[in-house]
Amino acid sequence: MQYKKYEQKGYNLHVIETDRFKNIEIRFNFKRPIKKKEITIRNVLNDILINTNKKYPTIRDIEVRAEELYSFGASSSCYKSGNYSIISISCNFLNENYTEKGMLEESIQFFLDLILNPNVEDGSFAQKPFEYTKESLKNDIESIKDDPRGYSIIRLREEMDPNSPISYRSFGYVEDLEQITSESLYMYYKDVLQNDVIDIFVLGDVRSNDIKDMFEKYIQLDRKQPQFKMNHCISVEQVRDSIKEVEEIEEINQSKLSIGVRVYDMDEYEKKYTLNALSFVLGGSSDSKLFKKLREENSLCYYVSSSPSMLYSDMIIVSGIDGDKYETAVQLIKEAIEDIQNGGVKQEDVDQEISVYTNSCIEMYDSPSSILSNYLSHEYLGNDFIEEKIERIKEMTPEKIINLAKKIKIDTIYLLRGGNTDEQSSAN
Amino acid sequence: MNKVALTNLDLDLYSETLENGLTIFVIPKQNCNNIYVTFTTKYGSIQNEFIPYGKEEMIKVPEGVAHFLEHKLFEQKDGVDPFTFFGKNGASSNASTSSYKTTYLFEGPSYFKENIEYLLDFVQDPYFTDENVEKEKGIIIQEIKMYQDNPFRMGYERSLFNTFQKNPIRYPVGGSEESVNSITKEDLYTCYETFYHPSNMFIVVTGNVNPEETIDIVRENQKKKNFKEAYPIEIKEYDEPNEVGKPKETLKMNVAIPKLMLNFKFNIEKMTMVEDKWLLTYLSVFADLKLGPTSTFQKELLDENLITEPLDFYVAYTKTHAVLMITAESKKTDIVEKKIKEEIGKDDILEEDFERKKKTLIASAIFASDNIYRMNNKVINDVLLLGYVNPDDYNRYRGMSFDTLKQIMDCLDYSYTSTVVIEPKNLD
Repeated sequence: MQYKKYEQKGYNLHVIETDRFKNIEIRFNFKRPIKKKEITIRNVLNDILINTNKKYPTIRDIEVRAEELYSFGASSSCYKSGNYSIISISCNFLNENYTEKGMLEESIQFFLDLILNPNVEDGSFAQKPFEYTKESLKNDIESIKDDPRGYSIIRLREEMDPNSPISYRSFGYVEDLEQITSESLYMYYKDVLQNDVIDIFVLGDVRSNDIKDMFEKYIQLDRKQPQFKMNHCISVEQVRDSIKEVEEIEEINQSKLSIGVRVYDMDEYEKKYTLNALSFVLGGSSDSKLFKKLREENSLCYYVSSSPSMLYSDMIIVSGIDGDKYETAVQLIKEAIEDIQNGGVKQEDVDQEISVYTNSCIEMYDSPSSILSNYLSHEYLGNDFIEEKIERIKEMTPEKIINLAKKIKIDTIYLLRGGNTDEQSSAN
Repeated sequence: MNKVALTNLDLDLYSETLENGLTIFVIPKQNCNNIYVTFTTKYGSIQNEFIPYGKEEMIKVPEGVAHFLEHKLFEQKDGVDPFTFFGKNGASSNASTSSYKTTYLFEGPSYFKENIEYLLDFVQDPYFTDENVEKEKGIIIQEIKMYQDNPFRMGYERSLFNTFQKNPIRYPVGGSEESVNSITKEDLYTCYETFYHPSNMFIVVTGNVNPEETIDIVRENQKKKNFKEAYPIEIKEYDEPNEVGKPKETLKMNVAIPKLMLNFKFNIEKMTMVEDKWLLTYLSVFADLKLGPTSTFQKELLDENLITEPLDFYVAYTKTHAVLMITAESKKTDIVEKKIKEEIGKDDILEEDFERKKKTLIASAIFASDNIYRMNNKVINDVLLLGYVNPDDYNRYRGMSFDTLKQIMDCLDYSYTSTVVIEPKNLD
């Protein structure tokens, strides 16, 4: 695998040459520091760019063209990366050796057209696709309760860090959506083209120089690439006096428990590796303490797990339980954490973590999007490349995990209790 | 050992059927790191009325036994949890049950011999006690409740239940709370003895392996074990009528936007122009052309603000009937339902659109050849649907004909429909 980074006029182009795959993957990223009032309009922009285009104004036109290009696939995602908001437009298509000569350039041209040739007239996005995109996003925002497990995590974060980007809703807010017009959207689009950091990643069986030349042909950005100094990672120093407990009722069958565990004072190795290992031992597999305590020994749940976040310096523990088992579940979770803090990590646990982690690194080489994500996280977050990760995980020890466990504290517990919402309103 | 080339995909399929009836399939892929192994029995939730091994009378077991068995096979007499075993070898394991099969799997780049032997050993060594059966009930009931909070899952299950009258495909794979509570260890042993005979099972290995060595390992492992004689398994046949059980049902759930599940039930007994696998492919292409993202129908629904997400399609099948299951999200489900019913019978599919769809199927076959999970699934699906693995998908897709599509469409009777609508609970 060969990696080349080109600092072009107005953007960075990263090309990863590899002959392992039959397809080519491209990611076009816009990045800027996150602002709560901009999240919604960034979502609308993210969605509209793959819904409509000057040359292909309707979804049908885009889909038909994509099929002609042998199942060219495009997608877009607007997401939070700590202190930054990222709009990521991606595409995936077969190497032309398997389809037809000329498909590489046609696919790249089609992809860049989607992003750089929007369906705009007289300073506004075309009205019909704009209305459709807004309505679609509105439905997504209003449907967050359809997934009670995901919703309980959203609510947890809002209760745990109400004034921080950690708590901002990824899809945005209906109040902000209502203010957006097809004109203001176009103005924001121009702002993004002018002021966001742009990184383009290309991975596949390609020649870097050919790709560089092709992109130069189709992209003219008259600007300097912006520089932002702020780190992606957010860390919170305050320690709460006592655990914040929040309960809300929804008409669901299974109650969803979400617990935010804050991690303090991590050094570089802890952030990148030990946090992961701690979360794995606590609740990262069916062999973990949480799985054994809550599911195997007490049949309290079907799923219980913990997920680490380097970006937010925390871990979230989730489980689906019967509401009346809340106290028991929380008690068992506290015991699992105390168990680790009191030295309950054996060398064989660490060996397993190293083995699983190493294998997941090795498996990344089988997936174009995993490889691409690794280069991206190196660029944005300073994460190690895959080979370095495989080396550095070997430094893990039980003591490192136990010592990190002593720096964690349960901060907030949120329960989305299954019940009759009439009870809730009558209590008001 | 047989070897056959998979046309145009740069892959070969190796296979062998052992003395005890177990069949092994291997698709080696050298330019990848990972190995993915599945061990499947041709037994799922649909076979709940049958003649048990060694007996003469038909019996009926409670719904959910196949899924319960899947959970319980992870229980080992020596107390070693398979998840732990695989985890120590850096592999991850899982299992799943569907209407027609139960699959046990692991994936991991190393310790292949130990892992595959262990997979065979733990699945072929059942250990059920009254106590461990009782303990699992709580866990499975939590799993059922988790699904009951998922509107798409509920819509799917209820619509199947209403569409079929006699065939057990109408019951949720996991069963219900009542049926799960009634399951005994005797039920589990009966089903195990009948359906888990090696002659009813097959193992599929895809990834970085040597095919001859792989088949040797499995052969040696099976030689050491004794199995009872194999008998053909007799499953109850159902006289499923063409009419649906219940044409309309409305559910109230915690959703923001109403969901529509519209099922068309087709009798396929006379559709012998192609094998079942290709019949299902033609039906999917038909649905995609008529109602999918490139259809003028979807454009119409979007233009009239009736939907903001594309329609979703799935084809469920039994020996006698295929069901086209259409899912839509809309604030006006009754209008969408009416429009679909009006549109579906119209003969307005163009040959050029069909030819373009073929391009996407061919592209999909090539994409899949890079992916060890998709290749493994292809083998499993072929074995279940065709009884053998078709090595020539590439040319079969190229050879699909517009005439055949029209012949199939001429046989379709759109009169038998069943609808489930999921509405928000508190309609303001």
